[in-house]
Amino acid sequence: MSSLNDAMRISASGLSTERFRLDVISSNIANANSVGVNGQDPYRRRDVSVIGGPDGVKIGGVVEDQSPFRVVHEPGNPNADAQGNVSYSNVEPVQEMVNMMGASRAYEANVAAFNSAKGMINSALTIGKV
Amino acid sequence: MRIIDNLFGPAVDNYGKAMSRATLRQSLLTNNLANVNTPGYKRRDVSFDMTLSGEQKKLGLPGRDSEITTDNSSIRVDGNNVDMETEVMGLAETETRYNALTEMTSNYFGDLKSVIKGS
Repeated sequence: MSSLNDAMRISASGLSTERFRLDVISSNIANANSVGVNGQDPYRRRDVSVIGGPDGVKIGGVVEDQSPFRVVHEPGNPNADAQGNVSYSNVEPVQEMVNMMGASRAYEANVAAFNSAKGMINSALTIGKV
Repeated sequence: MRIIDNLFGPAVDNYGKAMSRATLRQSLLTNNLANVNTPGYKRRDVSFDMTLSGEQKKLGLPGRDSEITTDNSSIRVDGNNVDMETEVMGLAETETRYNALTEMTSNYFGDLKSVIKGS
């Protein structure tokens, strides 16, 4: 038997998951132009794996995108290697923007669902006011 | 005793059933929305005849209990089939329906009260 409190709890799980996705996306965008220094790998794009089920969502973990880094030939760059190549992070800003819009819309939808459940609880309480 | 049983009997019972069904639908649609970005998630819903079923039971017709259905179609590459617009629309509809039901229940009790007080 499900109740409106369950509905609100599910919305809350959706809200926190989407907010975490937004955090990770922000971190990706902030690191879009990170370079590898001293032979180390630059920033790898991160993605959130989400586990869903009949009672809300939870965060499965953060996975790193294993796609290749963006290597640019910039001999003048102080971070260039012996061949004059600089490796930048594998973040695609456009892709991140699209994901961000998706996460932000999903967040708003969860807020709408939460408010709807709240409205229903309030109207259930009016039954008592005869 | 029988009069009182009739007073509080079928109508309130049916309102209650309809409201609990609206609650169930609300929580399923909420779950669909929470899982809008979960790969492979399939949307769930209840069948729609919630007021009809109560009436059918009252008339002695075979009624259907709320039945959770899973839609196994796919509209996205990741196997998820949640359509945000449909879910939000369903939520708004369920909320309005629930408000109507609470209003009706409230009116019912109000009527009872005015009968009891005789004013």
